[in-house]
Amino acid sequence: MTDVSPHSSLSPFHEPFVLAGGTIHDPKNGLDGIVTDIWVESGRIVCSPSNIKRFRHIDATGLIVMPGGIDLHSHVAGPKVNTGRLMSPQLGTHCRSHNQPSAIPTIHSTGSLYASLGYTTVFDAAIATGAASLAAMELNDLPILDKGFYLLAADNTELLDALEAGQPDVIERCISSIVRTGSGWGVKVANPGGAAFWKDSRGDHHDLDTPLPGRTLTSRTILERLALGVQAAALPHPLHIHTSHLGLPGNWRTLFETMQTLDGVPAHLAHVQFHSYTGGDLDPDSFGSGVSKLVDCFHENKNLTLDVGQILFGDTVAMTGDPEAAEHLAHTTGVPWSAHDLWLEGGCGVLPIEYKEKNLIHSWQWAIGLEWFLSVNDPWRVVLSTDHPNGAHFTAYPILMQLLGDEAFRRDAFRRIHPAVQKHSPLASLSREYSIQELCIITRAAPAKIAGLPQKGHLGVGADADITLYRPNHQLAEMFAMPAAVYKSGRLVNENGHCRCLPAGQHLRALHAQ
Amino acid sequence: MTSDALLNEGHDKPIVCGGCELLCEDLTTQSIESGTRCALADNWFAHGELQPESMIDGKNAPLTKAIDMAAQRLLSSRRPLITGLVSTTIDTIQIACTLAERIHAAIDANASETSILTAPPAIRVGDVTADFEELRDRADLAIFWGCDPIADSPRFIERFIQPVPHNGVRRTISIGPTPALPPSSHDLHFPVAGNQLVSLARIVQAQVEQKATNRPSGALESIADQLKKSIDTAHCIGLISTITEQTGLVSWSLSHLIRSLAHQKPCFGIRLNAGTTAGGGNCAGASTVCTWRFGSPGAIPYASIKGSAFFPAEADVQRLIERNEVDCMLIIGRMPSRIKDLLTTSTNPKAVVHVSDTFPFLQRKNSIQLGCASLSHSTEGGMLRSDGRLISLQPFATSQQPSIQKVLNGLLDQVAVETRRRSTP
Repeated sequence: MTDVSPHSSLSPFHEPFVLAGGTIHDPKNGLDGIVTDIWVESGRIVCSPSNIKRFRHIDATGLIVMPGGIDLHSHVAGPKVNTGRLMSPQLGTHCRSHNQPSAIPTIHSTGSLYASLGYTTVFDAAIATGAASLAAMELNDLPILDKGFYLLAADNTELLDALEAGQPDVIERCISSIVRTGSGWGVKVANPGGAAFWKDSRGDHHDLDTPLPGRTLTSRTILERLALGVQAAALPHPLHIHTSHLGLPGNWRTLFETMQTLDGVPAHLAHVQFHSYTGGDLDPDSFGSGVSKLVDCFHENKNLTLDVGQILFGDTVAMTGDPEAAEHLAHTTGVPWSAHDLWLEGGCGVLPIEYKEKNLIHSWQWAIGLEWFLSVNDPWRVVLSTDHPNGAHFTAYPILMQLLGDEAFRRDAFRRIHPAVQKHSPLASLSREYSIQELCIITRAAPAKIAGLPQKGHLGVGADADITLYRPNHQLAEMFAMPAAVYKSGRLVNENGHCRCLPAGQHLRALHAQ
Repeated sequence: MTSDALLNEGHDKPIVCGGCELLCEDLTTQSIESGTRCALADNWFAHGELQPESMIDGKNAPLTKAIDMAAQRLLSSRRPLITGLVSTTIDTIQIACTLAERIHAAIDANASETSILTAPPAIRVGDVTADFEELRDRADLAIFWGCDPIADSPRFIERFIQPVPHNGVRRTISIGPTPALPPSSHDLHFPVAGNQLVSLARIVQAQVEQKATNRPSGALESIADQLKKSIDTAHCIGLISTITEQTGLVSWSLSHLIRSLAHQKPCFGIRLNAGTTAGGGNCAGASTVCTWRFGSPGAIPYASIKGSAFFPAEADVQRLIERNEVDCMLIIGRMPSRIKDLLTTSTNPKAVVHVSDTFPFLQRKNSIQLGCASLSHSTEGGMLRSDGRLISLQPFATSQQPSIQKVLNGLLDQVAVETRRRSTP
């Protein structure tokens, strides 16, 4: 079914080697800081060989060894990313302070910067079916990383017709056809049915049970039937859901209803931080955290996983396949706003945004994201993300890891945000610290499992030799920002922040073309 | 009859025209032979039978030798520029970008957006747009804003305005010196001088946002009132414009107006590039690939995979040539008339390497021509329409010449060989 055969990442262009004496973090195989050797040959991790002389010895003593990172939800390619690049030259390499990378790096820089953090796989979370071929061409220019994308199939008119008819076998065939033709890895729904409302009448913040214009179908039935269809099509990744009302006060109810609607069917909830707000209808004064109302429901529904979409303070660019949400934000803030309506599909919205520490709403968003991370009791169901670039640039991941793993660091940051949030946020009472093993889970093992990549996210025999070596450091941001070495399919691609080679990664496709 | 139907019935092959940014995909070999009724299409398909020779300084030369010499001249150049591109496919442009990185070239595709003095409006205001088919199917009001689609994209009206939208009737309004359609009860024309377009957009925007204007009432206000009434009664509005003026103010003011309207009701802009001067239909493809490779759509003074500066109206083809800031040009694909004019009038002759299926530029000295298979008849790949839609080209004639991709890959290889040779003591 999947295109990732046991030998799909084989790379003969490196000599066999052994990483000797490293401290292994491999949650899937139960290794939590165990000192052992990792043997690598032809792009894969292999058993301890009988003839060890063929293997070059690489001393990893004192280093932390993890699988390569996997970003389950990012925006790295496609027309909306390019629009973001065009819209934000002021955030480009040449003008940005502190030598930060561009908010939307070039496709080449995207690959090399991810690799410089120890990441080796990335998924773009929103590609329109009509833009899939172009996105594939762009991703072909993305070096080092293995990459895939989720198709915004639920905006496709043909699939909407099938969902309305409600025949499961037709829906399954339609999903399979779209994913196969579009070379996608999964199916994403962004504001189910929202594009239809957007095209018909602006600013209609519909609820889950309002029929789409000209149809009997509702957002809720789209979610129900689509999740079942994706399950029936046996795609490696369950339905990837960006539910309705992103960014609006009081939207925790929509996320709550979405979780209940799925009723046991596997699904992944994207950037939940943006969907966890209390407050009245468009009332910023009553804005607050809805995480406590949601987290129990999430714990009960074991069929669900989530990524957080943490925001971090600074300049970035927001981009979404939910044009209604983008328009709302652009109109509220007055910043430049780009949108495009696609024929027989949905659309997208792109705008620059600056998250400010002293802004009440932004402070809440920051605290709500961290509250989600620290409230979910099973790290295997959580994925670290900033919804790059929406919440923050992916190069800020090391800071986020320190916020999760270092309570003192988090408290320092907490003291700088808006005082009203300091006073009311439940984050004030959360003292949990993520261990190195847990950070490894939410950046490697869990996203591999959730994405449906059995050969990634671990260091067991047969796994892709995507390996990152870190120098232990109590300053977790420093540790995760500068790996000692990064291997992709057994090839050294980055060493102490220096790019060593730029192999082409593979395009991960869920279904074979016929 | 649709292209698919024609294929199924075996009548003829569907063919894409790369003559302008509409990338019409409803042509057939039959219609090409009998005439397409479009001057740009007829011009695009006029060079299919040529077998262009490779030449060095006006003398015939084997392709391999010409490629070798081209690599040497490009690497010896102090300030190379890569341009053209718009008559070629996306994968060809990707190779061109790799070449630009290798030879540290400036790159600009001669698209109008990179020559605007104030930078594209997308940066300052944003850009609310849609696929052409969205205009065709949804817009019950189409407003032509100071543009002449008949001249710039001859089949635009036939393909996207004349079909009846899903909700019944479409009205059109032409704002500018000439009507886009013959005036009738459904097709209005308001004569407005080019230098009044910005003022008109600002007045209508103020009305849409219900803000007071300080201007005394006059002819422009009267037109604005009528426009506003039409806008109020429309359900979905498409505003069509062409980037022609280099100040960028018309685009800027129109983008503001579209943005205000789009907040209230379905509304989008449709931007057409001037096909007659661009030299091909893939301006959007060139901008897109340059953006993902370098972070900018063109006007790139120095191509770098880590991100390049964007200097609109400064590092675009016209300015670089006018200021004599290039000494060697690699022109990929057919020569746009604007570049030909610039080279002809340039006071300081430049070395030219031209990869194409036709060579209208007659410079002998310092000129290398690399012949390739017909770009219109024998090319396979994708081009982007100006609305961003990917259109696939299929070859419908064989050629004995190598494809343009093959020639460029040969040049890329030779540049690598020559670079190694030069770096070896």
